[in-house]
Amino acid sequence: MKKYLLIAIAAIICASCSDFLNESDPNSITSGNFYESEADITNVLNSAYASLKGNYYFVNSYHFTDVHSNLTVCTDPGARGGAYFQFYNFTLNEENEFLLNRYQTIYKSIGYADKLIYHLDDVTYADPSTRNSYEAQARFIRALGFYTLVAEWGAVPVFDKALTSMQEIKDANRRTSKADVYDQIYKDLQYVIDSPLSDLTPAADCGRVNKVAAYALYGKAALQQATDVEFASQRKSILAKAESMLLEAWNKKTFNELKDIPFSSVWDLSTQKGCKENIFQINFVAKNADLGSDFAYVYGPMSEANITSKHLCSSASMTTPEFYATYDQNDARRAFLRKTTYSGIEYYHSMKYKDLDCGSDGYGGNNWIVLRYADVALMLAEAYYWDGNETEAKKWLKAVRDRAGVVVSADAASSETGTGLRDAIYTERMKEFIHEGHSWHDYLRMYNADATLMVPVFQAKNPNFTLKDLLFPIPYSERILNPEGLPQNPGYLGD
Amino acid sequence: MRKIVGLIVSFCLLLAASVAMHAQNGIISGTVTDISGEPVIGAGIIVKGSSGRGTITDIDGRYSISAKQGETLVFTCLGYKSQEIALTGASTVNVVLEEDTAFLEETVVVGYAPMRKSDFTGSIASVKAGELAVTVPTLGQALVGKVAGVEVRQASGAPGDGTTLRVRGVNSLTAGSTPLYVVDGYPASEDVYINPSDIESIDILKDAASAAIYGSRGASGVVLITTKRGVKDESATVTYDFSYGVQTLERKAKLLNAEQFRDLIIDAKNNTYRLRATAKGVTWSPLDDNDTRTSKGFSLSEVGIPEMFFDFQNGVPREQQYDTDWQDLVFTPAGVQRHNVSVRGGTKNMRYMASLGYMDQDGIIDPSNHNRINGRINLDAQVTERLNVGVSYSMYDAHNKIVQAAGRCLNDGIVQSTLMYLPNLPAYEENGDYARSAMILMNSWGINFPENPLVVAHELDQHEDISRHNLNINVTYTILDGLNFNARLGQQWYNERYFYYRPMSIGQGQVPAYDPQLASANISRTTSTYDVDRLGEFTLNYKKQFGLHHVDALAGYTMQRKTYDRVGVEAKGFADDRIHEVTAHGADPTDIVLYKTRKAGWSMISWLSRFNWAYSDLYTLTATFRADGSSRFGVKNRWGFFPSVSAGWTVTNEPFVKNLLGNTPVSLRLRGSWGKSGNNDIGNYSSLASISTGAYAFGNTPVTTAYEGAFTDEGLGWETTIQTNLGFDIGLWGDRVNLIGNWYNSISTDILYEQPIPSISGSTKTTTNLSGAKIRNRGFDFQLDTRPLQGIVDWTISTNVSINRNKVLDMGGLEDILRKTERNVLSHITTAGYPVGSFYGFQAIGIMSEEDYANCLIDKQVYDANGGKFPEGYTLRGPAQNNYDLANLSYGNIIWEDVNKDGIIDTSDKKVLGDAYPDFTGGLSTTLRWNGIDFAANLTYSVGAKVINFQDYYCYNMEGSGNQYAIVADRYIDDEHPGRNNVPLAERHATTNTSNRLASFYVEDASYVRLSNVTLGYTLPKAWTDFVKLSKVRVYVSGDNLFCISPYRGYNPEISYKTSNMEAGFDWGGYPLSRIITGGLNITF
Repeated sequence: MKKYLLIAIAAIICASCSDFLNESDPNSITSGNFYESEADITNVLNSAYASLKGNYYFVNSYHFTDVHSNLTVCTDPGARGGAYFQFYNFTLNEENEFLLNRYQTIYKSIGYADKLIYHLDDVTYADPSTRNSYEAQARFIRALGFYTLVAEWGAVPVFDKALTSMQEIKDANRRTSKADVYDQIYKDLQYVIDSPLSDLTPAADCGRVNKVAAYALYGKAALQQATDVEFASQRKSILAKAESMLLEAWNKKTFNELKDIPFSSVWDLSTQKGCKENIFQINFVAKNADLGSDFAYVYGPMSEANITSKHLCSSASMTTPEFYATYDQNDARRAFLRKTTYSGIEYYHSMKYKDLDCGSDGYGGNNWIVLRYADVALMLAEAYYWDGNETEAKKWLKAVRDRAGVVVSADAASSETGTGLRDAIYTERMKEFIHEGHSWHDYLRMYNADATLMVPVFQAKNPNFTLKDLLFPIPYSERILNPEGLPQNPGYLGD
Repeated sequence: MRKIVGLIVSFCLLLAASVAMHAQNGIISGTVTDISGEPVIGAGIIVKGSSGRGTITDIDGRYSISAKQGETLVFTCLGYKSQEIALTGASTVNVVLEEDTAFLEETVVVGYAPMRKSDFTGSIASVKAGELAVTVPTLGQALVGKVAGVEVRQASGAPGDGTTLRVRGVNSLTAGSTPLYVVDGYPASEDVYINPSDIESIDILKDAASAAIYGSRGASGVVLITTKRGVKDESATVTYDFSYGVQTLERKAKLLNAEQFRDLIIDAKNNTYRLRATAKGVTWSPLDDNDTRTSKGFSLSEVGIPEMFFDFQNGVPREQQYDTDWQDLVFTPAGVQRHNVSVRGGTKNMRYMASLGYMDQDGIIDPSNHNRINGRINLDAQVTERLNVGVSYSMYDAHNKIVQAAGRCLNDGIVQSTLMYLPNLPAYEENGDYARSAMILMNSWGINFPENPLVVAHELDQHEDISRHNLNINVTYTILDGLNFNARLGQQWYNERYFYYRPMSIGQGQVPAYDPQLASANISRTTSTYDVDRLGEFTLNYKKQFGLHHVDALAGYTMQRKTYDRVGVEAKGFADDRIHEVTAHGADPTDIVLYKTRKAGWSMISWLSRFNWAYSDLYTLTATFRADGSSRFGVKNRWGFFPSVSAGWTVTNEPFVKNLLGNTPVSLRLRGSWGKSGNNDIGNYSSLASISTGAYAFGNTPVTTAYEGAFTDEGLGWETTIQTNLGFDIGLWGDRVNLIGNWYNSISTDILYEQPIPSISGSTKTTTNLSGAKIRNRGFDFQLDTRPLQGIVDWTISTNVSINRNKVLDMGGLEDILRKTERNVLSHITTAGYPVGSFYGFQAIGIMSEEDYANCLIDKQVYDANGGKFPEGYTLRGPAQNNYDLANLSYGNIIWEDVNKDGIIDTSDKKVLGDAYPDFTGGLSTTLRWNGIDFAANLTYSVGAKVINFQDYYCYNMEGSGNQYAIVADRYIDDEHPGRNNVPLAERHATTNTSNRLASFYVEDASYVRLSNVTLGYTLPKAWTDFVKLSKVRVYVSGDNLFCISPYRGYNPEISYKTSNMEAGFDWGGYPLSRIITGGLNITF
């Protein structure tokens, strides 16, 4: 009898076996049952936006841009075992951890966009146009990622859909050609241009992608491609594309002339989100650990007060007195550089990200401005310059100078022709966009990504500069996952 | 062999003879034989109550002893029943000793049901209570060096901290390699915190065949712990143990003194100045003052020398005001006291054991402290003739005051701060307060920023309360004769309250104490944890003797589920440091956030069986089979199956061998086993892709974000280890000499690993089974136990040695796994042909002389002229460089090995620099008892292991940015003064020598010999104790970790900061071990 009892007990226990082994994480939803409603999709789209805040993408981007082009300075060469200094000193190697971070962060952002597009049709939408507006926003974020990658690394792995299996990942993880990457960028941006998105974004929705952003980024990518010596034979037609896209962007502006917008209103926290000049911004909200930015801290000095309510800043990416001296007395932008000393040396730090209201944690309200109209204007100047239309180029250059309050002497103006005009346009970009993360791409365009032009100029700044520095190395830990498919950029392997 | 045996025997006889010299009366002699008439060698004969007179039998079983008529002789020998014979006139007393069948039937705990020891054919290591040093605070420490094939590492000396056990090497990459602990049959999922005094025995299952009965949790070995229980029909024994010990730092590190540091910083700054100036083409002089240096565009952090070190006016170094020995201030003597009371006994139907332990241990870093109570009640009741019920309850309650020894100084790692803090700075202000943030305030001079370690230790408020309870009910019902049903039901509770408060009085990073900017670090955290583990086990066991055949079979079903629940809160915005609790948080709503809040769980179901057949003490065969289902794995691979077989042959019981051997007292047993066991020790839910949430904002409106977590593998399954074990057991003279040897070969496959995947996937890694990957552990372990003397003098000597070779045979198509440890340095590689987590970096092969430097400058011209590379076929004149930047190029720099001979030092020049695994480890222990005196000593050693002393990142970086190891004083200055000629030039940019790389000189030999325990005890004569109505009183003194001889530069050669197998042997601070001198008292009432 007792035996039967035991068997009965055992049977009862076993009946519950399969359930007993099903454990699910009480803290999170699993992907299998996630994409169920429009709200879920909205949240995924939001995460694609949030990916732009990833570290070493736009946040802390100065290493890869202003510092790398020696527009600003790496103030502590010994920090992080010298890994930061490598950008300034042109001694980058493929193991540089920050390059890896940037590469990973950008692909992660692209991945979020892809994932959204992949699941778009899992749900139905109250307003059917929502679907395409979501896809447009995601595609812009993807295009922005590929633009940054191709400009800095050259031909990178490019793909146009979510990678859902190990095999797809393996197949996609190989370098293509720069042309393929640019084509993908254009395809995505054309989709945005044809989408139901609005032309520009109101302050209340600041941070959202709009059509003008797509036109402007299209123009920017096309300009980057057109000024690449590799595409010299197609330059004319790509430039035409850049011009038309940038003009489209310009024509959709909601102000009269650039000079109607005070330079300070681009940065003032009370006006920044709604500033008509600002086309696309990565949006932050002050005093919040999840939503705040730390640009005030990053670009502020260690010793001077009145930049941020977090007293001590990082003294990173400061520029030199020599660069400060190039500004005209009346230049409105000059006030956005302020003198400080660090470790006994005089520098100028940025005031663009001043925030006295961010609280002691330094969670600031400063946005990162990815695209603004001054950029569009100067890109138009560039495009016309490369197209040989100096009159038109000067017109756009003047628009930006006028707003800054710069008067160019007749003497100086007369030298602004040929490479003199080229230098004037790019110098203007440096002055306008210092601390905004443009200068390295600008230099590549200025010198056509042409080693014969660029190497001597940079070698004069630092003899370590060589051919290799035109592109970043593919991060080592990525390269070894597919050494054949991801050959290293020249010069980084002692070859 | 016979010769050696003979030698040992005669030595023993000699000793015994000397003992027998006390005899003053008539001589009694005779022979001791067993029932078959064979002489019993080495049997002990004592005159009862004489405390001192005794002898042993010789090789022919003969003895002689002086004794009075009327006295009683006691004959003892292991494996035989003892006999007492009263002397009644005869001067010849021959004795026939009966075999102790209880001894032959001795059982061994091997999982779920005990087995006859003689039937066990796997590989096991056993330690009995008497062999454990109980003066150390934790069980693990008591095991150090005791068992072959088991490496016990003392990585941390923090009060209350345990040890790390590794059975036969590491067989996993990301999954844990901690053995499974089973306490009185309860498989605890984590390390056990048990009172060492409660332990009856510890048995460690080493081979896969033995561990296979524990299936998916057996691959890293199984530690079976049996606690003391009551004894039937024995009146209560009450014991009280007390000890008090003083702990001091075991080994001190050798660091620069104030003057040596001063010279280093001056040297480093001047060298940097020289290099910067040379690169820039400007003039320089070491006597240029700081203003001159900065006017040339060089920053103070690189080239400036603080006034306190150099008098620029007179151009001479300054006399230093202080020479603080930070180690002496931080590591101070600390007391430990322990009380233990236990009672044991039994009636016919009831057995009981109860104990209560109290321990209070201060740490050598004041004010760390561990204060705990252990309680245990073990009850066993014979309810009816067929029904037995055992109930065990144990509790552990501890309060720990924590100081954080490990980690980076920036993260409050005290050990690193102690090493780095400048001896040139005072510890205290004149008013008696701590001197705070002195180094932090020197930050602009390129000085690193540890806070005064005394401030961190005393003012960082960190403590925890932990309690564990364990209820274990065991019901055995005898269904038929030989057939038992057993149910084990149990539950374990784990509760923890953790508390942390970081006041404004501790500087951090570049922010000095009390600076308002510290507000973001001025936080309080508290967590509350409640974990529950439930177990149900049901087994049927059948034992039967059929003639010469013995059968022992077991079948069972078990379920276990563990849930984890933790809530934590982090608060900030404190008005001041007066209140440390989270309740004092600021008014802002964001001042309170969640901290480490989590819920999780896992469950397991298993079927198990074991069949054992033995034939006439000659042949034994065991087979086991277990099936495990675990919630941790993907639905597709949820069940794992773990078979094993093992066999034994007692050669010397074979009749023809017996005839051959005649009277030779030798026994030999051969064993072989094969088994498969598993590892499921990865996190929960690894096979599920989960959605994480976050936040973004449009305009000023926050929105929720949701994103899919990393790529996951639905097919995730077990990691499997297959191990073959061949072994022998040799016995001489019964149990006088025992030699156990094992050879094993274990191959682990389906390795669980967080495989790196291309970034284009959006993730960087995913947990998966590497099906083609193979990790091998192969080796020998030997254990020799001898008992040279028995009787009046009882002397044992044991030694063991373990040799394990770990090797990754195949990476399963995976690229080499490179791991970054601290400061983003790639330091470890896991690659085919080398052990798991080998050290990987650049090999230093010398120091650049001035001539080398001149040659490099010539190379540089060629390099620069050719566009930043060398022309095809160019032969380097100087040593290869990383780059030819003048600001980095100097004589005195390290010459790195250009492994691929391409003239440039880059990633392709890295090589394997060693690994954390010893070539062999072992121990030597001895015990000696005579006339109430007992002595025990235990020596442990480890040879061939290496450690990355990553404190070198700061303490051997030649920068003068913090204090350095003493070896730095012996650096290269110039060709005339090359020092020891392997320590490079001092330079702020010594980073060019080591920048983000692992340099071979960080890898140090971590071999050691340690006298882990010496105990000397004395049991007071019976007459005295009778007088105070006590049955036994023993006093003792002991020393733990008395010395440790090691070439290692840091504190503890056994350090392991990182828990991952792939980042083994890494020193980034850790609580140093202490030497403990203890005095104690054992009283039995």
